[in-house]
Amino acid sequence: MSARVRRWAATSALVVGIGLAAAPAAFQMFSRAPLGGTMIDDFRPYMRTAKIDSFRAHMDEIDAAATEATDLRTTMIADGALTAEDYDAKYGGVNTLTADWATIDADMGDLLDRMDTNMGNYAAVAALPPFPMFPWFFVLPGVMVAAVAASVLWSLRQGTPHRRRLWALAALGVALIAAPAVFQMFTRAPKGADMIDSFRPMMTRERVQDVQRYFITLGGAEGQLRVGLLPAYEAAGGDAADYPAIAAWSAEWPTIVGEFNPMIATMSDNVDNFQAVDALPPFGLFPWFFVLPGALVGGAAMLALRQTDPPTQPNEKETS
Amino acid sequence: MKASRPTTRLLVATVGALSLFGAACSDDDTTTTTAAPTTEAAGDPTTTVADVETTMAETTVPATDPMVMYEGDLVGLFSIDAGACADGAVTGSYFQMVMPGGTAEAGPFIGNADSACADTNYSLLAAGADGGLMTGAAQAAPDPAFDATGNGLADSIVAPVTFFAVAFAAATDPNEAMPMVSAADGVLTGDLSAFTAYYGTGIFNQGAPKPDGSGAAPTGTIDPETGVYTLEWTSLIVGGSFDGFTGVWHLEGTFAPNG
Repeated sequence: MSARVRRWAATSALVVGIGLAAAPAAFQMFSRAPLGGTMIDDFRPYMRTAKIDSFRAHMDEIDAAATEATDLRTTMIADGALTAEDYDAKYGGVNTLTADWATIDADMGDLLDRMDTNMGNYAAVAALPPFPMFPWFFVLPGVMVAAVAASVLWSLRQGTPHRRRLWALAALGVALIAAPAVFQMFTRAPKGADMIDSFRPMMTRERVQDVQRYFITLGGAEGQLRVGLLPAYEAAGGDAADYPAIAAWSAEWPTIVGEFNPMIATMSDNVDNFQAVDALPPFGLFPWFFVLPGALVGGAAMLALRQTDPPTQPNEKETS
Repeated sequence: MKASRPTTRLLVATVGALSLFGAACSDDDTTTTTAAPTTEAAGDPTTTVADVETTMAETTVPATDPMVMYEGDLVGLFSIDAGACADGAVTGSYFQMVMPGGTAEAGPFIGNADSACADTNYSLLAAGADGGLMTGAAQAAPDPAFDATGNGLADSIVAPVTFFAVAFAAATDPNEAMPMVSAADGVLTGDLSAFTAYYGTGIFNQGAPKPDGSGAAPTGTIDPETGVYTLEWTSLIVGGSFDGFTGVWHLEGTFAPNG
């Protein structure tokens, strides 16, 4: 009876070990986890308060300029410098900005909010061991558990001592249970899950293309204001100084391009990476992928040990 | 009456002398005919002169067929004629940016308010410090490739062009295939996969074909005698902030071989 229990326990541990080792392949972790690591690295420059604040300041500048652009149209038409039809024909880019600005502002604001509110979550995920190592956290303990369990089964078949091997199996089980706590996975993994959930609406090809269009709208409008509209306003007797926000936007625009351009690139280049990470099992479950197999292996080992007579001699005299 | 032996000898000598004189006059005529094409063919005396001599000998009129000078691999400088806009027409070299889903023929294009053209879909190009695009040699971007505000600094091929208030620049990436253009019967094609644009701290391959071999090769024409050419290509931007956009490049100028 006790031998059957020990054999059952070792077989269970063997199955758990093989399952643990095979899990990364089943979940395509070897290909997906490094992509997640790339995404974490790429977003690092933007997941900082100073950077988000800088983007928000730029959005405020553009908001003020868009408001002035609306006023400028009204003024120029009222002054008779241009008819409404002429204005709209000549400065369609500015019209697009003033018409779309509320949408652009809300959408870009949403992106910045998502990045801002996830800074803590990002930091927690970034503090995890490197993503490319994730699969090996399953493979290595899985192989060790399977190997020790197999050796126990072999010993049972050969009738040789195996008590130490059962203790080793129990130790591996305890290590698996302890690993998530050691790596603070219980706190960090749910934060990763929150970040994934929060980023999901913004890390899509459609959303990235929206942002690209916003950039074109902004660039086109800024250029028309700077090159066409304000000079026309001055030619009609106006003073460009009446619209300081437009001038400020134009002065700042090259800097804005230099900051937004790489951020859009980061979003664009990481859509696929994000989707790979999103296809992994939920981050919140990751600690339990260690705890549960660990409990099974440890419990099976302890059960087998209870069915195994302790050594009769102090110097290693195991029973089978 | 029979001629005496000395008289016979004198007659034979006179006839022989006249024959030699006639032959000498005939040789002089031939030399005059071949001298002219030798001078006309001075541009390529090694191979073209023989052909012209043959033609002249057969037809005895000066050659009228164009002299094919620019054929095969063209290694040298494709000088760039500056783009210009006059009366609504765009001439010379220019760049256009096609929105995702658009085409080089129909757009939609991104209007560049900084363009010198009324039709802001065209951004005009002017020759850079090297005078144009070199084949058989890389024209790498400087390091750093950008100034503090993201303006591209490469200026060998074309002068940096302001686009949305920020200058984009072009270079050929020395890590990619060496730029090469070849001509066949006045039609150009080649490998410009190394062609790269620099804008707003972003680096965008604008090669044709792309470095992975996808996309079309550049196309164009060249006057085999003068080297006057047009060369154009489109290049899809893959990755980065302009992912999905397409650059359209149109170069005009004159090719000059190395040496």
